[in-house]
Amino acid sequence: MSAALEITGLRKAYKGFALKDVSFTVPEGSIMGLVGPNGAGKTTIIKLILNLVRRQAGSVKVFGLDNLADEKAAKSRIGFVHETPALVEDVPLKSIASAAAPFYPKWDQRLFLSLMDEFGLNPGQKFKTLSHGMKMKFSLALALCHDADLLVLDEPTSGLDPVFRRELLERLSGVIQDVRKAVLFSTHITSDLERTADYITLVLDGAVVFSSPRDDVRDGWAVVKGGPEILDPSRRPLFRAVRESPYGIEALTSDVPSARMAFPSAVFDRASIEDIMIFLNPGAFHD
Amino acid sequence: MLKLCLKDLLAARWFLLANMTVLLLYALQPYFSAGFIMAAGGVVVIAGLAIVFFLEDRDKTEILTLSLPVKRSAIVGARHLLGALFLAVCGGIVFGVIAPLGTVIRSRSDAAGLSRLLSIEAAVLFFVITLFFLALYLPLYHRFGFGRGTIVFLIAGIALVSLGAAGLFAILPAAPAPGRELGTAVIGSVRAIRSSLGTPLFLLSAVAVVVVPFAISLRLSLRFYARREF
Repeated sequence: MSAALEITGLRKAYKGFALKDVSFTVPEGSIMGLVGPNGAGKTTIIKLILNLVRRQAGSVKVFGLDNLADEKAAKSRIGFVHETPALVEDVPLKSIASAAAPFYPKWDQRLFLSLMDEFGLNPGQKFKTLSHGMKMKFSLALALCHDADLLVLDEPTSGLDPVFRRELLERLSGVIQDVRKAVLFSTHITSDLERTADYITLVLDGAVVFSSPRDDVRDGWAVVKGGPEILDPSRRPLFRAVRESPYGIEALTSDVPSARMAFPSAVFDRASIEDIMIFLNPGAFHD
Repeated sequence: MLKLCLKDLLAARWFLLANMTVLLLYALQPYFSAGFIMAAGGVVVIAGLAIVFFLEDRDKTEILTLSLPVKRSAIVGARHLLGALFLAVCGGIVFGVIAPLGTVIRSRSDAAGLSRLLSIEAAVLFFVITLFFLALYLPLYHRFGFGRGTIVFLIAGIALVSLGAAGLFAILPAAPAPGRELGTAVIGSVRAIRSSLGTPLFLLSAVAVVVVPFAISLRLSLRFYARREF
């Protein structure tokens, strides 16, 4: 399976924050969820893909095209939906579409009109009159109707009601029915990932913790619950993070077979993305 | 680039139309001289561009523009092209509409002043000065963004205009009455330059004076915008 998006060794430093050698691949025909707490670096990664900020090292390839050297060709294959869709406020939706259409050779006006209909949008309505959810729908319609091969969505579900969130996620699943297409979406709502993503990349404090198929994450990580034996320093390398609670000791492991052998009497629960995020978030617990 | 220009024109069409209408209404007032009308034309050119930038800033659409399949250099080029387009349109209004119309509907004394607008010298002066200010505004916008860029431009522009006016009052042979006659006196001086150079050389020099700062401006804008982060 070839890569729709290939990110290698990406670095970007701001005052007080840095992306550190971020690497991951989004295969064609898949949905990749980019997850992490607020401020982890998800939006910076998306901005680097779109060349909205300048990278300091690394490379971004969209279907093999470098996003800087082949910027125009690479971007013509990307459909972008921003967390807070910002389009010209005083202009009717059909005019916004007319302004965007000439930039995309594969723009499909009939598909646009049918999506407007499907999403319950009136082409004559002005953008400023739409609710956040409707603005998101319109942005998605714009991204879909130029037949983008890679959809990049920055926190598309934040601020949406559950009904439209589900609708949007189902729509994303529909996109990859065409196996040449792919979706990358960032979120901090982990239930979205468990419902939709084929691959998950967890970003914490500017670094990728893992980038794996969702099933590998589900099967490969566990929360171990037990007594003080878990705190034995010789066995500490088995755990990625440990926390003490009034009810006992809990530890996160990504080496479930070894941990099972070491602590046969402990309770092993499958770790959810949220568990992993909370355990590994440096601000949440001590390591 | 044309597609980008069209996108901006579409977004700002009503504001731009209002801007041009204001110029027409302003210019047809009987008490404004040729110099004032040219200055108003120049202000409307810059204001037209500032309106486009303001709307982009207000609606935060720059991220959308940058996510389109275009290079940053094309975006910068389109903005310069848009400035040139506004200049052509305002030049057309000032010299193609206001000047001939003004000579018909104004009183004889005013018409004498306005008739100076219908000259090569006036047109050259208008295009050279307005293009100079466009060439100043665009790199500042690309360096600092709309808010700070416009403020820096206004400060620099007011300083330059004040210095220029003071210089003109000092060097013009017969110092004109402040404001009202300055424009016609400047046009007269430019006419003297044209007479001494001859029309072809005069026009060639005017083109050079226009092209060089605009080319420098474009280069600076490209450099600044390549570094901008969003």
